[in-house]
Amino acid sequence: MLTLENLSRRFGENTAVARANLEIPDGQMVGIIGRSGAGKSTLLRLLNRLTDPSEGKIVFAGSDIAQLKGRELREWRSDCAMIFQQFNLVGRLDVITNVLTGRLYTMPAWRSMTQVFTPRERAFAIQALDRLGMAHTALQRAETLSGGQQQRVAIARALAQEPKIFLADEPIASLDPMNAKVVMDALRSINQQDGKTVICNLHTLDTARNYCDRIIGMSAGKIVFDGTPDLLTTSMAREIYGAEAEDFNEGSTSTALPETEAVAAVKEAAAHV
Amino acid sequence: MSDIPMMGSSAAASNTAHSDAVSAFERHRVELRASKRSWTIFALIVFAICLGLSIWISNFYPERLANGVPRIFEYFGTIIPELQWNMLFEGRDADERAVPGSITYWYTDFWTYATLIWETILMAMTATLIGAGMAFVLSFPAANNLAPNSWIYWISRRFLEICRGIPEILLALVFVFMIGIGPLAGVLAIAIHTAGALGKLFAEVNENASSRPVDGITAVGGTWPEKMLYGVVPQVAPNFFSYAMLRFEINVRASSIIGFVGAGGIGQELNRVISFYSDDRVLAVLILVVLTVTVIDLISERIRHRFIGRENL
Repeated sequence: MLTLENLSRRFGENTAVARANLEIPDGQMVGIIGRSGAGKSTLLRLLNRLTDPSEGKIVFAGSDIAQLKGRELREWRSDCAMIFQQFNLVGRLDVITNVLTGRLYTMPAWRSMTQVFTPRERAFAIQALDRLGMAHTALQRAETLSGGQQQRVAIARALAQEPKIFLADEPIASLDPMNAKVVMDALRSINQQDGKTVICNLHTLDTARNYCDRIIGMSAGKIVFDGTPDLLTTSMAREIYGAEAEDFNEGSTSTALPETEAVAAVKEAAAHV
Repeated sequence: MSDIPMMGSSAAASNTAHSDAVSAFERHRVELRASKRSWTIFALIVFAICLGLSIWISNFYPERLANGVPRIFEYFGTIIPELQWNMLFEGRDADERAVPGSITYWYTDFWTYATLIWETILMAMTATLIGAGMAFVLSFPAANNLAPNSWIYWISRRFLEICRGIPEILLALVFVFMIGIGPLAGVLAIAIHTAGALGKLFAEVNENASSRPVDGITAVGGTWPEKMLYGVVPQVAPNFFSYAMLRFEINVRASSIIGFVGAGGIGQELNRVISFYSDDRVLAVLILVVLTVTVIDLISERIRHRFIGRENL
């Protein structure tokens, strides 16, 4: 159970997250939706402490994450993997080393600073890559891969951490619809097969509806909606995405492909690869 | 088709809107150019004043220069060897004596020079390696986007400034007093200066590195050294290498004069022949120094370009 109590973050005058209260039970798949600037990214970065909270508590397994420092903070980060919109891989390192960085927390300093990895660690990393269908790229430089491939490597890195929670900050916002589906399916499988909590920022409503057990809507730093997808009415969505959108409909936030003959053919081909 | 006003639109309203935007832009542009022009004029005046002062203080007058030029040739006259065409390639005679007028005679001490030049190159290599090593370590705390806190940033910045602020020759003098005459003093002096100069360049490269990979390593629970090693070093390594090679070229030149204060290398011999003989031996050494520096420059430039070229593929 991950609990947020009055969690806030201010940047100067601007309040990015205002007094957020949430309870997320283990094993849930949560989608956070909202316009850009609504505070979704800040909320996620607060959770694994890439950004420090201004006030409030984050409680997990009885300890206040917001107060952690040093080794305990690094332990929390390794327990709480982050998947970024821009992948944040090290472009000039090969794919396998990028995935192996997911093991850094568990390695003694002398091995991490000399980049000595054990055969077990390598095997673990390759298995993580294989699960995402990326094992064949292990010795390529990460920057030579396409965006969708890089995001899959980033998910493999997160898997290598063996975390308790997966955070994904707009994981599909830089991807084309086909790659977006591959990435969302991978996150869904992590949630369902491994039983891990997945918290995912999304800016398209249909993706959130299709993949998540629970949807949280944010607007101007506040949590304005929290419930199952079927509770999210069009008028509620209009409030989340801003009232000025008079002719709002769900399709306008969508990046999914309409089911045409060509799309069906592409999907068919992709399924056989 | 759309309600967005476009060029060539016949609606009168959108035409006046256009001319408003154009006139606002023109007004803004004229203002900007005017303010830029006054700055240019100001800068030119300041420059002219500084130039005038420096000419006055250094007595940089054409007639002085004209009077001095012949004296340069006078000096060269004393250090030019008396070579004779018919003896140029004569070897040593039966008594192992070189014939005056031959190259062998002019370069009697060739092997001394060669040994010292080799020593000079080794000094430059060692100093570059030590200095680049120090610069590498210090460049991460001295980069303002990477430093763990402002204290460490401030200290490492100031330390690098001190290292490169003291002239090499002064450092060499101090080390000669401390540890005695010889190449070690020179190596230390050049290494410290190199650490300061390269450290600043490396830190600037680090400041341009993307923060995304660093964020990635932070998010997996990496320590600060791990963030640097995995997140930053792969991005900056080619630039570091290129700057270190450039510094090696500079250090070959530096170590060939640092011997003037007794800190080893060919400079020591150059100082000796200038002070004691001031004859053709000066030119003999000078030619070797210039040749060495040129050859090292050419080789290192090749390596750097090949390295950069491969990186950009």
